[in-house]
Amino acid sequence: MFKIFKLALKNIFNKPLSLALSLVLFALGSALITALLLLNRQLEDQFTRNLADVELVIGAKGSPLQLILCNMYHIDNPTGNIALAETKPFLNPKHPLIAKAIPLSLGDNYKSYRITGTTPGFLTLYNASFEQGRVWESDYEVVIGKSVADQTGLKLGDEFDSSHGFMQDDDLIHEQHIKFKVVGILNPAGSVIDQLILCNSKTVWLVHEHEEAEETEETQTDSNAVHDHHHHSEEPVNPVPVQYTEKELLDLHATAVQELISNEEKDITSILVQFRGRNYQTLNMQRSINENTNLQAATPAIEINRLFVLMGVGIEALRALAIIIMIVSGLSIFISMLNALKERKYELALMRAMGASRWQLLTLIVAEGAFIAMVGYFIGALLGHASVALISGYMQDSYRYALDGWVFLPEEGILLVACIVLGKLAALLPAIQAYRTDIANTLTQRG
Amino acid sequence: MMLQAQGLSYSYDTQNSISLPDFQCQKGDRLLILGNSGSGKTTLLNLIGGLLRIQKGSITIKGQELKSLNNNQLDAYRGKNIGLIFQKSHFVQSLNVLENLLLAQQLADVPTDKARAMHLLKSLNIEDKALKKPASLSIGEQQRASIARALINKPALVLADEPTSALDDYNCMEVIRLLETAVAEESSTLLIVTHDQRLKDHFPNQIAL
Repeated sequence: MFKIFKLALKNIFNKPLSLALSLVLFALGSALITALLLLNRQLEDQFTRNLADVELVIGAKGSPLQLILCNMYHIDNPTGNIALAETKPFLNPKHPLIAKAIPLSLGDNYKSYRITGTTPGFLTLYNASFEQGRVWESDYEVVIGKSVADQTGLKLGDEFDSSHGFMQDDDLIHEQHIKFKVVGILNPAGSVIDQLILCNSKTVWLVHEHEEAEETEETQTDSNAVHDHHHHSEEPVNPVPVQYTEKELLDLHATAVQELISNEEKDITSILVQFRGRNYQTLNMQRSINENTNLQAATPAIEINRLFVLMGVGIEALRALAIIIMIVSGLSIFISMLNALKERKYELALMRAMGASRWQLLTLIVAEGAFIAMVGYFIGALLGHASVALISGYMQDSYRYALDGWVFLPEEGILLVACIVLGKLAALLPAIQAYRTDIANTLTQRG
Repeated sequence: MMLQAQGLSYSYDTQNSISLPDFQCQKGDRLLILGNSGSGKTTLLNLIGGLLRIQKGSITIKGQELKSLNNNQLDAYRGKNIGLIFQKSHFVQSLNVLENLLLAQQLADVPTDKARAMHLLKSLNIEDKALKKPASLSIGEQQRASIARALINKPALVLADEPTSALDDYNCMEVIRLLETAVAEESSTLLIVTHDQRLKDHFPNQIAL
């Protein structure tokens, strides 16, 4: 049998042009499917991992999906701000239904990485731990995620200016009298926290008040902000990472929340909520927020499912396209083999005359189809992975989400088997024709 | 007795039936079967070579009745015991000349013997073409390569179908000379089916159809 497979390989490489056509088509199809599999799986994984057991997001009225995308995934703009006075009850640690309520204040970015004002409780949502340094303790101190550190080159003790809004824009860089200072770098968590710059909510307010003051009257200095400048420590940060227990972080969180709610006149962007337990009261709470207040409450899992359904339509369409390309490539194998058979009938008859059985010829032709499919698949798989790696680079630039192009899924094994089956099917009819070769009439002219 | 044919007749359709003469030959014999178009000489060759199934009559080669073999046994028997040379030489195009010879051994389930293949190519004066693709050889060279392939498995019987009709006079004599020498070396029996009158004087042992 081995010799037949070897011959099949030699045969397919003997016709480089028709081989190339079939390979290109096959590779295109399998590349598309591989890329779709990888993208679909990794996006779902990322979105699911980033749910972080947050059961409710409370923010300003608007699109619930936008609320979730902005505050959970940090890829859309906020729906608006909410007044602390109004949200105070949810931040109360004695709330009967709420186990954890983490406030978020968004507004600025550094090189399009979002600066997020929050409490140390945020770190507990993603089980974040420190690679270097410590949690923020005073205003303008920031803790950065691993991707931020890797991509911007920010190091412990570095200082920087922020830029207004969510996209990098040189015209909008705040010329701050006081710069942000990195006091901690987080270990990679594989979730959205890797992409964030964290500080306390007050820092976000300060930057914006400062900006407003500058806009209204250049000369008039904002007493509050100036006052705070002096709090900023110039001491170097100890790089040895502080390992906090969850309790320590939650204690810090409780203190931060107390301080936060004393500023009733201020705004925040949203609150991320974990319940003590899910029951009809928690469901009622969401409904009552949406019906009776100026706030909006949305459930991340539900909104993300909606998003998947929306994306699913596009992915299904692309998958259908990929399958059509695969079928066309199967057809191209079929046609080129059938064509080649016209000139190959002599050599096939000859092989019969030399002692090859009908089954060996059938095996030979089927193996040729399977080999073309296999080589095409491997080229396609390589292309698919490479293109996901490429898309990943693009996504990281614009959305700060990273994908891994070189992860291999079990579905790819199934795809390989499917490709081989398709190749064999495409070769089957030509193979049957080879099986039926009439050796006497092909090799000798009756006379 | 090397080869014995008895009471053969064959019909391609219901109307026409070709009757073929009885004959026999011994080991090492060289027999020329002459006949014009339509005389059934190619049919005879196809029957002896097992390329067509026997309808009526019997052929026995080295005591083996061909009729009693099933299709697969017949393929295997042909690969091992019968060397075939055709009017037009055919090769597996993706393999070079040497690989084509080795393939003939593999398909007949004979261990490959490169030295033997090279020896045959040398005795047919195409040693230097061993690594060339068959399509790049001249017609005469191709015919010599197919002689080498027919002989590679030391067949008891070599069947040649119009081996010289596509060749000019010089190549015709050259190929016949080489064929005879090579067949003699293997002490195989040679059966040539042809209408080529140039061979008439060369083989005293003839059957006319």
